[in-house]
Amino acid sequence: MKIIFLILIILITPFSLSWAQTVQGNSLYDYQTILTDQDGKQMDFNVFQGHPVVVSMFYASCDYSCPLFIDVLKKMDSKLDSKIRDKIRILLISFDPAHDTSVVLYKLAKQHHLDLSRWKLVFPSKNHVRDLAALLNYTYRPLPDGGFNHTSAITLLDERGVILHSEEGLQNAANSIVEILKKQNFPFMKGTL
Amino acid sequence: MRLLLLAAICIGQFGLILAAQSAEKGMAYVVGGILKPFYPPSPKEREIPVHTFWMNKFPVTEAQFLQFVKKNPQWRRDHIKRIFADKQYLSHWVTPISLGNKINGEQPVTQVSWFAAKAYCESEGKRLPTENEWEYVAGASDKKPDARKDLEWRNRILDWYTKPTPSVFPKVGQSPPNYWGVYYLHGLVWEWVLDFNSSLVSSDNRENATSPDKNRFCGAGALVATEKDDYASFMRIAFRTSLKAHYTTSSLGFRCAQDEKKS
Repeated sequence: MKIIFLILIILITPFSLSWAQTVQGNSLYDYQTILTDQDGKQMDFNVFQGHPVVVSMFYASCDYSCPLFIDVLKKMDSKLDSKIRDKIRILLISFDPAHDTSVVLYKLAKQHHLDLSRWKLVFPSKNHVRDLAALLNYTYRPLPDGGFNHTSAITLLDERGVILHSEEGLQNAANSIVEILKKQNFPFMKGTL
Repeated sequence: MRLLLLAAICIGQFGLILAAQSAEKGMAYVVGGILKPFYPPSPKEREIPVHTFWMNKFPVTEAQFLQFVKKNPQWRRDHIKRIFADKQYLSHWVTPISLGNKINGEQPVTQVSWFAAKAYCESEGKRLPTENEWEYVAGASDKKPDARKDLEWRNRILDWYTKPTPSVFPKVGQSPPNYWGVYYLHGLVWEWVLDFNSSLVSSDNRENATSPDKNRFCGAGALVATEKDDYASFMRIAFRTSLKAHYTTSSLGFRCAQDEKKS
């Protein structure tokens, strides 16, 4: 029994290695960083690896476009076929780790009745905000009054963390992503659609 | 008790001297002041305080970057993850770990991404300068800390911007230093800054919640520029906003900076 097991492992290893090599190079998960979520739990950036992930950056104290931002994403989510929706994860990353603590993020999630089994509101460490913004093609700038000036975009990652689509302008980006998710096949996804 | 205090002070001062020495090596001490940005990012930011800091006198050279790559193989062109640098990254070197005969080690390194430049500076306990810091130092002529209103000096800089990139870069440090003792902020290569992705030319997401792209036009921006004929500054902003963190070009290098050590 043990021997069969060993042979199986030897047979499987080259395949898994070659898969890893084709992935290597354009997965955002090659960037390693620790995120903290609305429950105060720490996790790797690749917490949703194996699922297609909708990623966006924001900051909670933004009075003007923030409520709108979450509404647009919720509407996008509701337009998805329920089978697809179950597989999609939504990761919202804060620009503002100094203020967007787990408590603040949790409150925001509750306010908007977000399904926390599929949505995560997270903040990165202070030194990694700009890296994440750069990886996700955001332009952002802290303002003297404590707020942020930033582009608004939504990015869709495949199950391996490769960018499938990234678009500035919330409403247009949300519409595009709904269309893409209707057609897209996710060969590496955890479970089946 | 007094002895302890004395000892503490001695150790403190010794640490300070060490810190100052490490920072001084190849770095210029830039006394903080007020930057009046060419393109104030908002009405409240016409005068931006810049803190005292250290800046590399010279851009990082090919030889220095080669040493970094040898010590940190994950930044070799054949090992680097594609998200951190495009395919042109260090492509002018003859092999992943040698410059070849055509490159002089004293030339400024180019073909490096923002991620790579940032990692280099961090490996030395430094960082990239911010855009405000860079512009603050770059506004100095050889005699004045702020020469932005000096038309002759401004034209000399613009003169460089109009010339094509030379096929062979001169060695770093062959021009006279500016007021701060910093060389070649103009006239050699473009340089990465830490917050290259911060120039939101006009579009404030809070003001334009329904149409974030509405104001992303040069025309709208030029209306609020403080010195409308400072083309060189305008070109730098245009260049920076065109960059992405993994881009590399044959005329884009970098230098490092460091906070002034707290006493």
